[in-house]
Amino acid sequence: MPLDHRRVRGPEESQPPEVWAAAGGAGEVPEEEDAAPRDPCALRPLFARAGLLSQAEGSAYVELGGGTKVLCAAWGPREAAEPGAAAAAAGGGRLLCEFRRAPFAGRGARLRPGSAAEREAEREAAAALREALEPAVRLARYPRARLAVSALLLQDGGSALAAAISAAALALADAGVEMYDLAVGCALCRPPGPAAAWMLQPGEAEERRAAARLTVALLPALNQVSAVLGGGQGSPPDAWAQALRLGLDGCHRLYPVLRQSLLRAARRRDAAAATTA
Amino acid sequence: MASVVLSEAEKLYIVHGVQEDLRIDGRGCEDYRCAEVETDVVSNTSGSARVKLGHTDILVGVKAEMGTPKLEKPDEGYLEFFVDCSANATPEFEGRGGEELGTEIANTLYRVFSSESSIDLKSICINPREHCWVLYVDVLLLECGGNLFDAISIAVKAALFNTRIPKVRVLEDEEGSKEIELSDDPYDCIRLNVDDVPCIVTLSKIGYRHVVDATLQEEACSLASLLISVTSKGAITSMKKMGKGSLDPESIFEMMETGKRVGKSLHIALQKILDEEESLGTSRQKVGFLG
Amino acid sequence: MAPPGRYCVPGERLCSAEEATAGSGTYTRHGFIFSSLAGCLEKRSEDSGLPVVSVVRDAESQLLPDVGAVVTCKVCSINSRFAKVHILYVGSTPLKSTFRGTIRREDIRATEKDKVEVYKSFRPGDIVLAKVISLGDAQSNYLLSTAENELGVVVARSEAGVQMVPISWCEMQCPRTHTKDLRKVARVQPQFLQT
Repeated sequence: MPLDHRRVRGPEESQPPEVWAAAGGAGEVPEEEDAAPRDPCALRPLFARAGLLSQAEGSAYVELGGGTKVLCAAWGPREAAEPGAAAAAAGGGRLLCEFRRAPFAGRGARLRPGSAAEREAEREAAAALREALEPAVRLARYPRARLAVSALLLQDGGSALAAAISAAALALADAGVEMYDLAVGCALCRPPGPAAAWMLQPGEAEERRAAARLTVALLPALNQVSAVLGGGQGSPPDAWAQALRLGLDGCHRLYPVLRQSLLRAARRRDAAAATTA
Repeated sequence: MASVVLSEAEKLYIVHGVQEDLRIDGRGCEDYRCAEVETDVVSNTSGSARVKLGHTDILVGVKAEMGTPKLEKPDEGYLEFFVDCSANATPEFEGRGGEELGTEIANTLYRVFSSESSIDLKSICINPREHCWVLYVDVLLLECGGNLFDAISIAVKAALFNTRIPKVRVLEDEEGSKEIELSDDPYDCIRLNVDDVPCIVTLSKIGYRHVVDATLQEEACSLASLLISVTSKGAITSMKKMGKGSLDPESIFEMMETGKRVGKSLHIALQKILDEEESLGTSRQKVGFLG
Repeated sequence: MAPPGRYCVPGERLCSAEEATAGSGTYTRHGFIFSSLAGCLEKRSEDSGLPVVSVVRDAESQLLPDVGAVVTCKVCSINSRFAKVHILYVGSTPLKSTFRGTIRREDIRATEKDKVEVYKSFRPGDIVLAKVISLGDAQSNYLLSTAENELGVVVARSEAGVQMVPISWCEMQCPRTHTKDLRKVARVQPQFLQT
């Protein structure tokens, strides 16, 4: 994104007020955490819609109950730009993924657009997105070509990467890219405390306080795990295995929603084609 | 990443061998290659280590500098990782070629060390909100021979074990202005407790089985691998799937068990070497890197 | 339009591989046929053998030039060894973005390859029908051939800027100035001629 130099960019260093409020302790509004200990297996409502951008070949929008909003666009096979890259892609196409956070997406400090920290975070998320999607796309069908997906995180209300994975898979399918399966992402977190249980689809506040976090992606029809990314306080393998199972179960439960949205988009597209024809 | 070209027949040979628990260099599926670890190899650092694992050669230097704590964590110091993929390792790293891999490794290290328990960051805070130690961990790849992540994590742990941070005192005068005084005695220093620093174990899926410490050839046969960081107590602190393939849920559970088992014995072996080297003190014969 | 049949999404299991053969937009795994597109399921019975199951989307499917496909391209530059072209259509489907291709001198016509000269066959701006012979390697892009009677220049303009008329397999004439220009002319098949 080119920087607009005419725009007042504010002082070189600025800090969000929350940091100081938290330090004071008194001013902090108690986040109603103890009020309603939620069911750890409960999923937040998910809204998905495919095929909503007119210019992109495929697009999808996914919104989670807690306020996470991700918009994804997919661009069909294009000629691989540089000949050097074409050599690497001789066996099949390349999948290019981009993940961008809107500058105002997060709760705390605004990440300065173009700053090193922002770039790093986006690049890592983009790599995770690519690894989650690559097994799902039939890249062998697109020799010497590249497919591009870009995810834009409008608002981060927790479980952002998981939502982006689901949205990107929907966008690719909506673009008519041949795929083995959809990819469904699901996030989990474990609140601090020795006996805390893993919770599905944490909200932003829960995610921030969490002792450990995990994002999984599943190809539901093939029952293959395409992404596992997580970390935090150490716990024995059994606990992680249990978390993984819970996450995969969450993915299975989210799948029908995504599938319906894709079917609806396909019907709508065919109906539109029928009326114009 | 550095890659080798294998024919289909060679791949089949490796895959079938792994199925029989016999790898091309004669190891079993859960065996590491012979590793060499040496600490205190670069004198201008606060701590350094070199690890050679098969043909993978890693040099890590830790430099401690004073900085201001991060806003969100005013009473903690922090670690910064930088991974340099120099063109010495493979020509593909020339120019900006290694940058992507470098950031990927650095991000993985951040995740591995993100857990509060791995290193006591409060111990490297000098006074809250004002001064803390920043440990710059610089990783150099001298040679790439497969299994970079494991070798790097071993080297980082060894370098942190070797790190000596000079003691400082904060003096406050009557007007409330603070002054920092560095101890004159070079032996008066803080050591880091690295008991809970995890090591990464990469499990590469080859055929229906998985192997640890894959060589370049084996990495070329593997579509997906699972990266697990394990502490010496056998707790897993982070996980990441790598590669363009996908994994069966059941095999992930198996991999985590293997990772825990292998990781524990790896920690024991590493700690033994580090303690041995420590006990030799200055009388130790130094080999130096690429020695 | 008839009410469309069943819609499916990628990864949906359609039927056993023994009941039908996999058509376009599907793949086979573990003895079952799965959908690989989001679209409408179509089952076509062939007179012999199993019905073909395929998943179809509307016309704007994601097409790529494949080996053996006849493509329509526009010449963008020539030199003594090859002509560089932009591929615009695969069969009768327009591509969303252009792909670059090369027609080498020896692939221009089937006979007397050693006597071929590129500038006597193509000029920049010509519209050419060609066949994909290879996807090319790291250095090159799609390799195309016009070594068939049906392949070659279909539309060309003279120096006066008028569309020329083919008068033989190697010549075209400008209707205004009556100058003749050399081209590797295609004998356009009637099925491609639609007004």
